[in-house]
Amino acid sequence: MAHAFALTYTYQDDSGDTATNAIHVPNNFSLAQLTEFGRSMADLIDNIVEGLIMSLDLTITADISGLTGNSAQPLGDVQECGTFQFVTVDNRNVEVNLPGISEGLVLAGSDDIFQAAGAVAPFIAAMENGIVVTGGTIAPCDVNEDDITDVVLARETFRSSGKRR
Amino acid sequence: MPLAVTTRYDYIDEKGDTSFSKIRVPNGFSIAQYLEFAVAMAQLIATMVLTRITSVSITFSISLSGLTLKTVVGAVADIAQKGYFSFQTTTNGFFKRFRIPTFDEDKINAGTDDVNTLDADVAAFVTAMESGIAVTGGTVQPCDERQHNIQSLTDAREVFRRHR
Repeated sequence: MAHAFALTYTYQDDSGDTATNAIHVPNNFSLAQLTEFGRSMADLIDNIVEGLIMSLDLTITADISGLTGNSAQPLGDVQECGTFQFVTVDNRNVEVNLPGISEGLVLAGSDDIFQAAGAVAPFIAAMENGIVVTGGTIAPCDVNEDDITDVVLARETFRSSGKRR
Repeated sequence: MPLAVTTRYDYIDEKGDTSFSKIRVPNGFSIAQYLEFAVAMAQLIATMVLTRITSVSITFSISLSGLTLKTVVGAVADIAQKGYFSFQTTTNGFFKRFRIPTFDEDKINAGTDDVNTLDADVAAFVTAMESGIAVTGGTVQPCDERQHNIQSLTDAREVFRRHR
């Protein structure tokens, strides 16, 4: 069953504390229609709260049941990341961390990820040039929508597990 | 300028530890196109990691500019004070419940915890939840997580939660 989409409203009170709630909506409307709904609902909610509505996000969930090779394997650790640093057209850095990077993609004797590997090169190409979708190409960018142009580095990094041992 | 759209990939490893990563993409595409991109990107990532991708989501930041929302927070506003609403959906046994933070104390019936559902502002909100809001080309009707349409209000009261 496809999940409903969620409109998440963030509120702030007079202490500066924030909280959220979500209203779910069906998944058969366009982005423009859901935007219209979300904004109208914000107006209605604003009339019954004392706090400020600070932001509104629409979150949709993709069906990933068709992915292949998508399984947690014995040597996988989310703390072991593949860190990819890209640069945008405006020379801003964009970092993407992939938790559980395969050790087999790291060059022997170094922390560098083998960028020419068959599994890595398509990812870098997709980040740099985008992915062709029906009716267009979607190319990754930074938060300001500046297009990613090149990979700067790709290396294995480790994150704290967050558990004290 | 609108913020970029965020695609998020959640992972779990064999020990049960979880993490996520985000890749941002421009505005201007349809939901179907974003879903196509996110699934394709997830497939590329799945071939590189030894973890399982548990979910892929896409978040759009919706502009609130142009609305006549209040700009000054109420002096008694507190996120721990919430309006709790419970709605029956069109499918028996499935309810949609949620809490609205900083709920206006003036909308509570005196001497009770009950939300005054006859208040014009509350009634307008409840009607929108039950019957939807007309948008260009249709009516968007709120639902629960499983897409059962919300049908009728069953409970509305003031509740308090801890600050986190």
